[in-house]
Amino acid sequence: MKVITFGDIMDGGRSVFTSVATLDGARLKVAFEGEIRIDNPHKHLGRYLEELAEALADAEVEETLLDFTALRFCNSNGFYIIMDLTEAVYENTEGPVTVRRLREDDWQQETLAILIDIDEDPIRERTTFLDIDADET
Amino acid sequence: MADDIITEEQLAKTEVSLTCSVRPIANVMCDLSAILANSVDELLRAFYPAKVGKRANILITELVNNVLENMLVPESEIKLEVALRDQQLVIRVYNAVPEERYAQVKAHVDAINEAPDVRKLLKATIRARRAQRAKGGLGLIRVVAENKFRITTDYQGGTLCVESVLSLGDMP
Repeated sequence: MKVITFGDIMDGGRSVFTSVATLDGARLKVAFEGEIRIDNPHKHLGRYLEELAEALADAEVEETLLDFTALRFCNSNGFYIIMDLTEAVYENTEGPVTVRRLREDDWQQETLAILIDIDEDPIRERTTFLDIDADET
Repeated sequence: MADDIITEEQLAKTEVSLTCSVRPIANVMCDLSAILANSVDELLRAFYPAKVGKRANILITELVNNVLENMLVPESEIKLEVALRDQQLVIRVYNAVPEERYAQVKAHVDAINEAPDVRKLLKATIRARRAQRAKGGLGLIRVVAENKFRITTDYQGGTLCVESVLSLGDMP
């Protein structure tokens, strides 16, 4: 397994959010961890977004896991960066996508599906949600 | 010591309330929304399921951020009231605004409350605002569509109040 790129949000001198993209053979995993509370996440994650899209364009991905179970909080200012990152994954990969999310988290159950555009046929056909209890993470 | 055991049913009757105000808003340099939201979240989790605290956290984050990002009267105060009793969580956020701003907020809240499908409204609003890279405008819709709060507005003496109500009995 190799890390292909990662991004983070620093706030008050500490990392409050990280996202890491790893490739294990043809399996891509993009994990999200921490909290998005800041005003302008693009300022911190814009470069990561570019690097992710570039890396995936050159990678041969057959299946993908998007793991949100360690993302504890996302304010509405964070919606666009989540959309941009997941869009970069869908547009630059092929094959099934599993979205691992928390069963008890309103945002992950309600709004995340909107952000990844689950109502669009090409997205829905590739996507499976895997609901996890918090104590299983 | 059976007398020391408290049941979930007894815990669910716990009444919790707090009020916090900060003046002037212009002095807020910290992440006030996170401080208030996380504090209330932790307090409510002491008595109620984590999901209640989490919903309060999101609501307070969005409403306080709305006030701070749209500050129009820098010398005024922001006030937060939280009350949980009889299985009903009521959160009010107050701040001073001109009448025109109140009219804008009221129109926005009315549009949310009159939407036949608030999830569709959230989706359409996210798409439209993302295309423009527009900041804000999603928080109030989100707390209704995602977190199932009912929101109303009031305006008294130049102060806007956004009231949000969550019935715990309706929660899964």
